[in-house]
Parts: sequence; C-alpha cells; structure tokens
Amino acid sequence: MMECYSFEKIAKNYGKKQVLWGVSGKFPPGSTVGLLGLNGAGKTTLLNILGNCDRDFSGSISLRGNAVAYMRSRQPFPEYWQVREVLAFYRRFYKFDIFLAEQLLGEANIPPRSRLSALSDGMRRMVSFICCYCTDAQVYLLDEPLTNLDINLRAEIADLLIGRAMEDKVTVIATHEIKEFENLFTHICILRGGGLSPLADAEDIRAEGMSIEEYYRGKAK
Amino acid sequence: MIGEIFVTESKLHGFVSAALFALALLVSLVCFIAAVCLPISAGVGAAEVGFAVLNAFSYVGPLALLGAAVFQRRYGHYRMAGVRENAVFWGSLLAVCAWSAAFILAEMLAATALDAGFFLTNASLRNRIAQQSFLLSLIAHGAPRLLFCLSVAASVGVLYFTFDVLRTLARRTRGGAAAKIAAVFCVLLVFAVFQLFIAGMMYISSAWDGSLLLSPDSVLPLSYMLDTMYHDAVKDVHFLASALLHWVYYAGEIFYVFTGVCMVKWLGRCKNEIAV
Amino acid sequence: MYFKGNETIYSQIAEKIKKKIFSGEYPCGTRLPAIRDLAVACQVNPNTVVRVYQQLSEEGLIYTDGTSGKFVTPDAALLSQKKREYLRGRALQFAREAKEAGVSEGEALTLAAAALADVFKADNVL
Repeated sequence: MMECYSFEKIAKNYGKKQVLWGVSGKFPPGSTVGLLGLNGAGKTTLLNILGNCDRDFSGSISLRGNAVAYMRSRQPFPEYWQVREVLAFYRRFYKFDIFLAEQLLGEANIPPRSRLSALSDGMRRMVSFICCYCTDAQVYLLDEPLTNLDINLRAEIADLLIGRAMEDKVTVIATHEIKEFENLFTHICILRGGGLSPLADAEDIRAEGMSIEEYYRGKAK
Repeated sequence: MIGEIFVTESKLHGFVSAALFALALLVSLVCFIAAVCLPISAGVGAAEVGFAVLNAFSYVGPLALLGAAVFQRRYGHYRMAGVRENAVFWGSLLAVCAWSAAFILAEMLAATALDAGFFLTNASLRNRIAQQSFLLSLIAHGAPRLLFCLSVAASVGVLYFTFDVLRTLARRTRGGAAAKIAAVFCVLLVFAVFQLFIAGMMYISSAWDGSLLLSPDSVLPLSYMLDTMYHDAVKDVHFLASALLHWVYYAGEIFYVFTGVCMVKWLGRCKNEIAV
Repeated sequence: MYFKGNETIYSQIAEKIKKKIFSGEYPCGTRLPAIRDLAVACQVNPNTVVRVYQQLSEEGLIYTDGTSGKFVTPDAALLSQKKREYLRGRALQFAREAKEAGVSEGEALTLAAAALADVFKADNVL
C-alpha cells in the first residue's frame, strides 16, 4: 500500500446526539497509530465506522471492505459457532493465512473445536485477535486488544504486533493501556469531544520532553 | 460473494433440516411398523398419524428454516467482512429457499417410500387411508408433484423477502416510532392486498365461469381453503403452495415483490454502503 | 526493557548501543542484531530501531553490508575518536551542571577525581 489510509469528515449521530463531528485523519503506511481517548469519547464508534460494521454515517473513507481487518471488542459471530467455523469464515471472506491461525491457536491452548460460548472472554478475544492478525489486509483496527488477557497472551500479542509493524500496513490501536503500547506507537491521535486531534509523531512528542501519557492527559481533558 | 454467504448460512440450515427430517422420519417409521403389525382398523389410524406427521413437518421444516434465517441476520459478521447488505440478503434468501426445497424433497421421498411400503405389505390397508394423507406421496400424485418443492421454496422466499422489507423499513424510515410503525403497516397492507387479489379473482371466477380457477388435476395442492369450496374433496391444500402454474398468482406475487423492491431501493439499506 | 517516557526512545537505544560499542562488548566488525530481533527484545516498534541504526550509521559507528546486516565499523581509530568525543560530551555536561550548581572549578575537579577513584578502585579490588 503506497498511499496513506485516510478518512474525511466522518460524522455520526444517534438521533439528536452528535457523537462524531466531522472527524478526519490520514495515517501513513507502516505506521502504528494509537487512538486514545476517554471512555465514551467515541473510539469504538469511529472504529465501527472504519471497520465496515456501521454504515450509517456521513463522510468518506479511502479503503473499505475486506482490505480492512477489524478486531472488535464484542465478537460479531454467533455464540454457537465453533472456533474452526470462525476460521473457515475468515478464509471464505478474506485473504487469510489459516495455517498461521491454527498454529497461534495451538500456542494459546485454544482447541479449535470449542464453541465460542464455552470460551472465557479472554480466550474469545484472543481468537478475535488471531483472526484479525492472520488476515492479509491493508489496515488493521484493534479495539482494546489487551482487555481480559493474561500476561502471557499480552506479551504474545505485543510480539506479534512488533513483527507486523515492519510491513507497509497501517495498524490502529484504540486503547487505554498506554503503558503497554506506548513504545509501539509511531503516531498518536486523541479523540475528544467528538473531534480528532491531528496526528502526532510519538518520538516528536518525547523529543519535547513529554511522555505519551503526559501528552494524552494534557489533551484528553 | 453470494456463494460464500450461502455456504456460511447452510451450516445452521443443514443442521435444522437434518434434525427435523430425522425426527419426522423416525416417528413416521414407528407409525408404519405399528400400522403393519396392528389389526386393520387400528393400523389405518397409525398410518394416518404417520403421514400426518410428515405433512405437519412440511410446515414446521420450512418455517423453522425461515426462523433460522431471520435469526442469523442479527449477527454482524458479514457486515464486518465488508459484504454489501444487498449481497447478504440474496445469499441468505438463496440458502433458505434451497434448504426448504431440499427438506420438502426429502419428505416427499420418505412419504413415497412409506406409500410404496404400504402397497407392498398391505394393499387393502392402503386403500382405507384417507386421501389427504398422501399430500407428499409421488405415487399418489405422480412425479410432477416434485414441483411442490419449488413452490414451497417460492413461498418461503416471499415470506423472507417480506421480513427483509419490514426490517429495512423499520431501520431506515426517518422519523420516530410512529413513522416506522406506519411504514411497516403499509407493507403488511400490500401483502394482504396481494392475498386478497388472488382470493378475490378466484371467488369472482367461480361465481362467473370458473375459468380462472386452478384446474382440479393441476399438479400442486391449493394454497387456500377458499379454493376447496369449488373443487371436490380430492384436491389437497397446503398454505405454502404458492401456485407456480397460474397467472393470477404470478400477477399477485410480482406486484407485491415489485412494490417491496421499490421500497427498499428508495430507502436504501444503509446510509453509506461500500462501493462495488 | 524500561525506557524513560520523556526522551525519544531511539536516542535511548542508540545510547545503549554506543556504550556497548565503546566498552568493547560489541568490538569492531560485530554483527548487530537484526531490526526485528532488537525490536522484539526491547519491545519497541521496528521503525524506531530503523531510526537508531540510521543515526548510528550517520555517525559512522556502524555500516550496512549488501544483505542489510548491520556491523560495527572495523575502523578502530574512528571508534576511539568517537569514544573520546562522547566522553568529552559527558564531561562537558558534568562541568555545566557543576557550574549551574554554583560549585567552583577546583571543587568540581576534586569531586570528579574522587568519583573516578571510587569507580576505578572498585575495579582494581575486584
């Protein structure tokens, strides 16, 4: 992917309540963007729009469809599906590396025949992450990928994301866990009051003597 | 894309079809064995129960599949994968129609086998079984009755289409709850009009010269009780037999579907659909 | 690996590698870890590591051979010159800090000598 991933004037309202007021962004290829913001700022709303799930919005996005892989907070699959059916689904609808997925599932001790309803929330999220990760997409959207995952799985996710970060893709991580990810971000943007701050280079922030957390606390209020 | 959706939907449809068919087959086999072993008067009763179970499942099966299709629409996995809403509709419509047809076909083969079984074991018993029991038997109605699978598929398709139109309306009508309820009511009204149109034509025709009535030896069962008033008791009735052989039915269905498609196209399925 | 949040990460990693080169832990001609391996070890974005190697390369401390492996320069003279420059920079920093603290030159010298004695004596004893 040679051009930037961009979206323009994304506006979303629920009835009379305006959640996003014309949000725009442009993420360069190879970047890992931290999408930060307080609870209720609209991170999940924005990711749902960028990730094909919500199609009731105004604005434009440069890339949609199955070139965008989205790891949702809540799995959209029927609870009675088995993990291997989820993999089969991904194989049918995306460019998917099913062998890598099976390998990662094995390492995480998740049996492929287990039903989603039988898994703990953390394991379900790990399945979600693995499926998103093994997709060959241009843009990866991750919504709070570390919630409810134990230390080992967190470390594994961080390692996998570091491995991916060398490629020409765009990774967007919406999170509160700044500490876990702050060394991984190349850029930061903050969602506040329905608006998105301009994209800031993470190292530039630090060069000014501010940690990412301080920058976030400064801008998020 | 539609093919992939069909395959994904088929997992649940296949399970539902197989489970219901297995149940129906089991019960009717038990009744068959009972009918053959018991003395004739009780045997007839058992046989009729067996066939009645199969006939009842010819409603339960397709309606259960319809329910499964409606149920699966609540999950957002296709949307997340970037599939257009239109494609999701067509794929799931194809799946529910195909599996309904397959289910009915399986039932008809089972009924035919049971019917043949009776012929072979006890022909006098078979002669005493009520005519309505043989709704699904190809021996009683001939091979052309296989069209019944298609006709059930068409009925289920129209019902699923109705659900989809109602769903689109409920989501996309601008305005409050009142506007949405009014829109949904309009669709149901159009559906009722389509049914009344057909019933009306039949009624008028039978009062006049009967030229528009389904011929008594047409291959499919009648869709409405209303029609039975004008035929002898030989013609059977099935509410999911949308007749594929009469222009009055075509006209009604085409008018109804056309109206629904226009509504959906006018409102759009979502505000900002993914481009082709 | 722990990094200070208010300094650029790439400069912190570059610092660590420089120390290893100057101390002889990475002698001339050593192959440096691959970008991805170093990124995983430090738990940072590989783009940061790219920047590190870029900076070290610009300073002449490392070079890239054809297969994109990074190596410490074999030029020992250059290395000792860079080492002196680096230490001079640190010394200047100490001097500035001493002056800002209001300490006289003589006092600063005594402090420095004492510190050197402590550090080097510890080495000798061991």
